[in-house]
Amino acid sequence: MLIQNRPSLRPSEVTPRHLWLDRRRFLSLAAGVAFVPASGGPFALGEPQTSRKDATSYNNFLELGESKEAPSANADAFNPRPWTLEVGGEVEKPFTLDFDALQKIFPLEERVYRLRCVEAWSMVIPWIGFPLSALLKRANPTSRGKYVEFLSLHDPKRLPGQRNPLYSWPYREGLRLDEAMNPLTIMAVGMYGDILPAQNGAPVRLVVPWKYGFKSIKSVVSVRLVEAQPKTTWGMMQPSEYGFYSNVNPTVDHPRWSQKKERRIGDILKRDTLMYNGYADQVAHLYAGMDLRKNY
Amino acid sequence: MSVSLRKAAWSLALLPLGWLGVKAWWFGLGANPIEAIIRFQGDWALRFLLLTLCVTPLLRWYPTLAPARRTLGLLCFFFALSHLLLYLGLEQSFDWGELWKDIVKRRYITVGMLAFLLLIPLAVTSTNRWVKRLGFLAWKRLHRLVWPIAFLACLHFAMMIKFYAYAEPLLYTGFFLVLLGLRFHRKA
Repeated sequence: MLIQNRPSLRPSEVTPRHLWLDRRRFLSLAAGVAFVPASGGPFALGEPQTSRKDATSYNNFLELGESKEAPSANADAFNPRPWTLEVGGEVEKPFTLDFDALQKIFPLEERVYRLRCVEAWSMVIPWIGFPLSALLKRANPTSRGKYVEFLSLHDPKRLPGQRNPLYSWPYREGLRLDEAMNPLTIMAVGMYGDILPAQNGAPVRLVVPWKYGFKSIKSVVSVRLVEAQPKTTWGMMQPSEYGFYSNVNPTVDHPRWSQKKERRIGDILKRDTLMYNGYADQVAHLYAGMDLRKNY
Repeated sequence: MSVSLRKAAWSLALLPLGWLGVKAWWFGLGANPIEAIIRFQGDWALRFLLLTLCVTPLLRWYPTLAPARRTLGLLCFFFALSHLLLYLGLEQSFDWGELWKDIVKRRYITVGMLAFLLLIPLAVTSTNRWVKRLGFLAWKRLHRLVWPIAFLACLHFAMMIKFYAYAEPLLYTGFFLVLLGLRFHRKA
């Protein structure tokens, strides 16, 4: 009789060899970064990672084109240097970071997160970044800051998609302060052990893994604490389809399609979508008592 | 003559299928190949439908084209059928309860499904035997259903797309309206 007793998760599923080799390349690229710890604890994920090729060639980034393939094809047009990220608004100590400071100022960690797009597909991506809370704390928020407003770079020369007059630029997003301070919420400066490619939001982007992907704004230049709920790009364009919260929720459908299932990129059949994208233990308390149908 | 014309029309199906094969083999179908294939089948169902509608106005100059019309119509049906089967199997995993909910709730699915249902009697009655059985006038009247079907198909396409990608559905709808205008023009 053959008794199979294999562990359900192989170490190679968590961090394939080429990725940790890549991470060394990242370390040499981002001088000053001492050590990027591999994801562990709640930030590791027992699910196979999406191939780097798929994660960098199937992107929604209107600033670099409207199809899924356009952002990677147009990535060369985008130069992330020089860059400044401004942290301000209702804070005591506003400050600005440049491209190099972004990768040096906070200790970087790897986080393997599910990414669930509102279009019912998903990926598993190893990000490298730092908690958004670290960035905000450094500015000493005042008690008047209730929300965080994020803006992408507005520069049609570097982001030619911004010549498209259909949208109001720059792309904007927002979080409630407690969502922003949640340990899951990070600012990513890298993925797959390397710096972020343009199509994935170079040089710095938000990653909020329990919300639909469009909340995770790319190529961020401004993070401001504000008193009132900020306006968001998709919320302004199609308010009935894209709410402020946009938490991954299989029980509340998009008006035009079901959110019950998703296709993990690389799979043939769809799988069930998890409440809060599988992060309910970490974030469900943020929405206790809220009507999630109204606050979609 | 008509036999070889029909064969030629049937072989038209090989062009998109061949292109799909070449694309899959050499370039890959991207990170989401299932969606790419489902959309490809839908695109070609609509294209063959519009090509079918092009035949009648051309008969004035090329009367021998008539048999191609039936073949093109059937090609539309087969692409629509595979579009539907792939949606049923790979999007809905043949979960009939979910499917019914999708049909009722999502207007673009309702519209697409209606277009397909209307297409079935046309595919079934495409044979010479059925023309005889129904009588030519009744048969012809039945096959005017192709107009609402084409309209629904254009609508189905336009409704599922993001608003910035309207160019393609609008192009097809424009083409459809020109063909419709031509028919009225000839009657007037």
